[in-house]
Amino acid sequence: MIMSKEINEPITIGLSPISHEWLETFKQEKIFQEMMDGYRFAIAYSLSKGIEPPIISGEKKTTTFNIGSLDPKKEIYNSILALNPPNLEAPIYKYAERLAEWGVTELVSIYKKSGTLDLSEIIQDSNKE
Amino acid sequence: MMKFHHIKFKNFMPYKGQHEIIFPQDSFTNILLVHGENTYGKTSILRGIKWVLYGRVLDKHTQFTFLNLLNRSSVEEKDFEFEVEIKFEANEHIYVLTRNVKKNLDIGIPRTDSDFVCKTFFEKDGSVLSASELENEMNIIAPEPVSNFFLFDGELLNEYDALLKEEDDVSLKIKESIEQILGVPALVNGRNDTTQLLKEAQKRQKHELSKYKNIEEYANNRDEIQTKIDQSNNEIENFTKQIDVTNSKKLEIESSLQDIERQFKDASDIQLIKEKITLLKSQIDELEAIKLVAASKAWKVLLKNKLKHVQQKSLAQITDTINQFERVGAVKKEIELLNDIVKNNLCGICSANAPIISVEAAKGNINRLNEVLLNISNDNSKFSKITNHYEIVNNLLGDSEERSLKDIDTELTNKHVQLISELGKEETLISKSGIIDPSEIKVKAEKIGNYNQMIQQNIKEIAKEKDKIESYTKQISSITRLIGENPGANESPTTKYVAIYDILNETFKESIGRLRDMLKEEVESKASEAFINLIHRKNYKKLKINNNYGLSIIDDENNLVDIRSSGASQIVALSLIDALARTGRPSGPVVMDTPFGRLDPKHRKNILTYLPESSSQLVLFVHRGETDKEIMDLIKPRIGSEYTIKLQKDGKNSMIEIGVQ
Repeated sequence: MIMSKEINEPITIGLSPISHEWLETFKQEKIFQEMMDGYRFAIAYSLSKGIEPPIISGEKKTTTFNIGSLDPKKEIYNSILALNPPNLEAPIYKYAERLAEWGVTELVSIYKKSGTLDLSEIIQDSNKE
Repeated sequence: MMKFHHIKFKNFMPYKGQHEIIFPQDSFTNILLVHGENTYGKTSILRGIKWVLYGRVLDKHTQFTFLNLLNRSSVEEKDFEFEVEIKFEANEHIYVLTRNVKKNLDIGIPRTDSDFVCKTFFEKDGSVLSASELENEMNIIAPEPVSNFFLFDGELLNEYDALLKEEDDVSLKIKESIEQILGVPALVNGRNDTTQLLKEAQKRQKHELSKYKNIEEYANNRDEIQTKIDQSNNEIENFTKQIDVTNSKKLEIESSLQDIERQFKDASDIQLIKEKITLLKSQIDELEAIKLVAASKAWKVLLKNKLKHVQQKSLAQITDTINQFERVGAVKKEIELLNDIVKNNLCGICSANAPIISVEAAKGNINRLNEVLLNISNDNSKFSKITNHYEIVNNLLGDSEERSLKDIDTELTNKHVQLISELGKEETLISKSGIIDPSEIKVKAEKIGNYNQMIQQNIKEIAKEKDKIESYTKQISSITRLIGENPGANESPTTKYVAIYDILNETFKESIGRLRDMLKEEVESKASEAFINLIHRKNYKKLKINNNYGLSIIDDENNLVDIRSSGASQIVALSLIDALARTGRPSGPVVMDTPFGRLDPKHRKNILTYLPESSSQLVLFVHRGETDKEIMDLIKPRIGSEYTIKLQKDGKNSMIEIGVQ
């Protein structure tokens, strides 16, 4: 069920410095035009896997994205609510940040394995699951 | 009648390894079709037939070397041997002719023809014949000059237009070939021999009659004229040599011009490839940009299936809730009716009095229904949440369908493959093309013009000398008669020989003229017959032949058709070829390479209806553009066999496969 109450949602969310660097690499490799596109894709990737994203601890996060720019129509927000991943908890965008961190780590491991990031293949694989 | 049975190639031109074509033998299904795209090796088969029959192949006027004829891949593999074998029948005999060329054992890498050994094997009805016997047999069956008229390249048909020009070296060469086919040289040789005999006899006669002063005077006169004839003949020989020298210089320049033309073509091809590369690069950039836009939305595509699942679940919840609402409504209505019965003892539907027992039952039912109502969830706020949820999911899925990343990736891959291929082509062309100097073309073109003028001048000079010889010969004949009429002449035993040779010489001379006239008449009539069968114009009446065997079209009002289309020229050339083939030899096969270049479908049909009738076998090397369905339907009943030339797996060599691929 979608939660309608928006409590204490952050204004910006980000990534760990290492994931931030990888998003920059994806941009340089022209896999994504903007880092933000990679960030959204990483959130969606985690959602598609139906995992509970681990809590980010230790490392200082790099504040990267303004929520207003990242999710102007609240589509990410609503998608998370609609798909209701395990142990979803507010604030939703904080949860999204965890999804993004996990997603980027997974995308990096695919990239390292195949030397590229074939988005259409990832989509195809996800449809098979 | 001549008929081919089979031809076999080994490492010949683009045909690496062994390849064979079997010719149809039936007199009705006598068409053999060989399909092949340009550059795959159709003309090489024609060259193979010419080479095995006559031991040489000409490209215009230059002879192909053995290295030209040897397969290139074989050369790379250091296999320096090629062979062609043809089996045919003619005049009720079976012939097998094989030519085999092998590198000389002492030579490492052969570079010229002398580095090879060429062996010819010739069998007639199973018995082996010598090389000289081969020449004799071939001169009877199909002399080499005749081959131009039954083994021909359709693209060279325009050369026959040259026959219409009276004073042209090309026309003279073709005329010479035609006359050779028609047997004129036999009489020319007879005349030359009698001229020589006459000269010798006249010398002896002069010596024998030297005591007669007046005869000696005549004889001296005759000697002087004879000297002039000899001088004229020498002049003709010199001019002919000059023409040959000039022609070979001209050919050399023409061939270097062809190289330049090829370079120009390469340069223009490079330009085209560059444009293609630029276009491909911009298309790739555009696709990359589209791909990045698609990548920015890819996260939604990734969630699409899961969201659809949620959407279906929400829809089911909405349907469930609506059903519950309807159920509540129905139960409430039932309670209302039962309340009416309890309060008024009346049936709420038919207004009849209700018995006491029914009232009690109604009370019981009301209690039961109220319990049901309590169990049905009827939470309006929950319904609102569900519909809201459904709407949000709908919105998330609602984006219009855009081009998928997979599609874009596929197109990008294709474009990259095309780009790599074009870059490869560009590199190859750049590496083989040199630097072109336009002024060089101008200089060469001027030289060719000068050479043409020189050749024309020489032809005119030869004609002048021939006129002189004609006049001198008449003078000599008169003097010879005067000597013969002299009473003392009979004292020379040679006088009667002089008279006989003189008469023979005149006879040959006259016979040559008559034979030419007869042959021209025959060629004109047969060519006209073929032309009327082939041409699709009712107002064309016949063909008219000139001294060079050039043919002009005459219309039904007996006017000469001055301007004719290239298609009509091709029909005229084919008519001439058909007439010459039928005048100069018995019926035989006709092999045509790319025969229909300039012909419209109607004329193609006419030719394909006519030629199988006039030849023993019709072999056609055609590319896809020449044979549409209509044409294939027309000749289908007459096709004896079909082959297709395909590229081998290496993409460099060709192979011949039976059937249409």
